[in-house]
Amino acid sequence: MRDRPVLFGSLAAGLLASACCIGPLLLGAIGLGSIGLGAWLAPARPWFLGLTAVLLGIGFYLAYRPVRASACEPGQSCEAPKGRRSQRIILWSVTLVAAGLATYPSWGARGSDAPATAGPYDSTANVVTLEVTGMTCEACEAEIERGLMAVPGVVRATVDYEQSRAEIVSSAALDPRDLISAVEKTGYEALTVLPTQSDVPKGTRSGLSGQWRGSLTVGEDGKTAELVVDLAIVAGRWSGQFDLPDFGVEDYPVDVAVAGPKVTLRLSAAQIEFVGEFKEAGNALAGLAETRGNRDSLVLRRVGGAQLSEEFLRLEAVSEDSTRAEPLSASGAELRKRFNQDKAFTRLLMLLSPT
Amino acid sequence: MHEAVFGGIATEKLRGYAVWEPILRTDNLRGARKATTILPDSRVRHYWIDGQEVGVAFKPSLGLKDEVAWDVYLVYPPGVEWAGTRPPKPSFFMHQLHELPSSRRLDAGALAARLRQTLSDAVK
Repeated sequence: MRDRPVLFGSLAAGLLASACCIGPLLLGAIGLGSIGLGAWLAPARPWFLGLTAVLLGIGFYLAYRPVRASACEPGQSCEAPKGRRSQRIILWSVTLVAAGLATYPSWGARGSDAPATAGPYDSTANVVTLEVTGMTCEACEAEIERGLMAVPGVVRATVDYEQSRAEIVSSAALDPRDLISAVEKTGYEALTVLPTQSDVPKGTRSGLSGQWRGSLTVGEDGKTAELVVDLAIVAGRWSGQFDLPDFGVEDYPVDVAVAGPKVTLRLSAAQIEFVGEFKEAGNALAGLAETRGNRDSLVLRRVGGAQLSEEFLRLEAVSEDSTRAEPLSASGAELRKRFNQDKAFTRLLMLLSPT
Repeated sequence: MHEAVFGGIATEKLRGYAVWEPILRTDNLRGARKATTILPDSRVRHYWIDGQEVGVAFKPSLGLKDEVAWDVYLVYPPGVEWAGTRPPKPSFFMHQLHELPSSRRLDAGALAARLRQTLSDAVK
């Protein structure tokens, strides 16, 4: 039975050719979903497909090659017609299994029984979009959809391999972290997508996003750093992330807790907390009142803010005016105008160098 | 400076103007924006001018002949108006320049005291 290694080889090659999609499924089932096997094997898939074909070709050659009866020795498969028949049955079985495995990425998604939609939902449902990484074929979509549908409250999950996106519709506001966790359990990774301005649905609270930019003064040395906080209302909840580019800090989560008029932004990675009596007017948050941090001195002020939509949040620090350096023309006309407007006040004018 | 002056004088009857101008070669708008954090007070407005025109314009008000006006602190009581292109003379000033009398060298405490006095006089 010298054909046996060929048969096992073709089966193994077919398995590897399908591993980009089956791998995460199997590994996810045993709790090793995040090791990224599928992504690792995906580039080699054409080679495994070729190897499968070559090994099967050799197997068919050995099974169907013409054999002279005189060449047969006792114990070989050509010795008796019955032995060769069973060899061919095994070969065809292996061929079917190998072909099924090798083409799984193409038919796996269609063959899935994952319900993309479960029951009706109304137009006020919450929609969360996730960016999913690690998908290597369309078959991955079904497995992720199945994982998302298992999250309580999810009524529809649609995954798009081409766009690397997952759109989740839920009947109630869900924490995006639960959805991300569900994706990770299937062996892939996900990030919350902050909607762009064009995505902002008018007149609804969901899907609004924006950016708040501030500067930090840390310690008595007056060291400043740019702080960028991206906030969005995702599925009815405030969510976001922050960067401190000067310190190489990127994409750290901001925990937003709303308790009545009090809103807390917690930048746990930087051990900074902003607590404010925010007014949630329409789709806006206004008024950043207090800053807490683990630093001796921390001054946070808005130096600029992006309002991605008119309806979007406006986070305004107490000293907003003092954070901008307004441009002056050579005549100083802007300063003169303001100086005269403030005629009723006592005034201190300072001419300073930034360094 | 901030603690002594704006931190120590809580009244809304005080207004401040910080004009950031390039004196050193490295001075720029970005630097000015960062520098605004030195004076974090809602009563202070910050300006950036990409040239020394304003500093030059204030030279006569301070009696400067050679140096451009910078690192100077000018106090104006209520009622003073800036008419035309020439800035008005301050009622009091302090500085950190070489050309001006050392008796007026910046002392944040003394400047704050003078501002309090001016505010007090304005009420009377």
